Amino acid sequence: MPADGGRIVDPADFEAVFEQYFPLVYRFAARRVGPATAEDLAAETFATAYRRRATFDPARGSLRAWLFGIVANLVRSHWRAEQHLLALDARLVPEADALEGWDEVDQRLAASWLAPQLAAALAVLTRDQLDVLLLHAWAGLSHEEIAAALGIAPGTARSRLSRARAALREYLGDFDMDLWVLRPGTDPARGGGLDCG
Amino acid sequence: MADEIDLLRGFRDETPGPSAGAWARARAAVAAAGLEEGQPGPRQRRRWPGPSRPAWIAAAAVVLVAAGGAAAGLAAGGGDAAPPGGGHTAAGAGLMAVEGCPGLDAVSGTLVQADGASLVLKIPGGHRMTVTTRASSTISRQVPGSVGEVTDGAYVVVFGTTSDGRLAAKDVNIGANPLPMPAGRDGQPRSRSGHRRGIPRGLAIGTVSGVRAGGFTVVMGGSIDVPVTTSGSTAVLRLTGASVSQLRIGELTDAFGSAGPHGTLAATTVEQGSQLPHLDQGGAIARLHSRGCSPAAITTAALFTGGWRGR
Repeated sequence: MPADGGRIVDPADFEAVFEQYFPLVYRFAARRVGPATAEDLAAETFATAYRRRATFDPARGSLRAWLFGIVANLVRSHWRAEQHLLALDARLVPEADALEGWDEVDQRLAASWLAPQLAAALAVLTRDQLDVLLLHAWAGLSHEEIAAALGIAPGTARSRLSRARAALREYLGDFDMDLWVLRPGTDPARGGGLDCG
Repeated sequence: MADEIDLLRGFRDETPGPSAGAWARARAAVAAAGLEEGQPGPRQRRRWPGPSRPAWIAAAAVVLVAAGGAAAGLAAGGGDAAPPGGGHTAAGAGLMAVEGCPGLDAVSGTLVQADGASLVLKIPGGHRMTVTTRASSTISRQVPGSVGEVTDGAYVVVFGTTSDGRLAAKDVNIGANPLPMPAGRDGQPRSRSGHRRGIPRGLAIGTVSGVRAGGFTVVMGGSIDVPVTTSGSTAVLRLTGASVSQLRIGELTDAFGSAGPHGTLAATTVEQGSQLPHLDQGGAIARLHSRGCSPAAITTAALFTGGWRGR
């Protein structure tokens, strides 16, 4: 297995790359466009990488960035599917029985509750913003790696990521309490003033 | 305090890793890429290291054979003009069985043909599925609406931006199905109890009340009022009853019903529209755990579990 700093020439090296990175690449794609399409994209990513393995230059970026760059470009051609999934996520609402049990504190459940809001927020970003944001948040790439992955200047990657984060913050707000008004007759104790919406 | 990147890392974090089928498919794709480079002669042949080489080759063979079969099936089924019943995939492929809902299956895809009481959907993977309807089937589609159609008691999903403490609506979807939050991995309902910070801007989902000139209020969860303003640029879509002939070719369409002969689906419910859930399955027979048997519950479970498991 070549280290991130090594070239991939021998097919045996490539298999090691495949074993290590396929789950990461698949999951990145699945989170963006769903598991079925992700199967296609992840397979195509590694077929493409195999064909182009001789062109991988570790001096221009890490192996991880190179692979995520390939899959990110493939995902871009499924923009409509990605937007559709985000629209679907944004429609999720809690069932009535989920209103119970407010005292439990569970970050994972909190994340689930946030899913519709995050989906709605992501849906308003541009393709370029979404690419850099998700490569950063989900693939763990740095500015430099994102730049290498997408073939853009590091400064461009940095500014796009900055704008994307700002847009996300703006959309999410600080949960904008003034927008959510307790209805008369609602028990404040139940929802702590309904700060959880 | 968590920032937006931390929140984002938790979003869809339950997405499972690749299935055995996904591994095999990718191995086959790489193997095919290797073949494109030209088969090296025996003396130059390189070995994939270790025990995975036979598995790689075997997987490639299996997938390539399957792909060939699918291609042959598609060729036999013809193109978009294939007659209903002739354009489906191999028996059962594309149908999703819903556990706990005996006899209930679902399919989702792009409508490529509507003929009489039959539909042909192009499903993920490029296959086709024939869906039959009856007079009792519930068929609906999204159509453009007007702000005037937003009435008290309607269920709406509103996207927009906040301004001066109000949600300025960009898009209003009337009559869209509310999607319940899915069960957790243990089968118990998810609780929203962990979240105490409130709902962010830009989204309101709930029942309309207090319709007035230039706006209305969305009541969420029966307890939260969201003031919404509308303008001339507010786009409105409403879910409305339709006939098969009114469904539009090329739009995403979901169908729910029972499996029929030769991999067809006898639908009790058909929904079409860009805002409707799309069951993004892999084109293979699958099984899904769902908390309920309604289309909304099924589509929600499908999304959250990524739950397509071949049987």
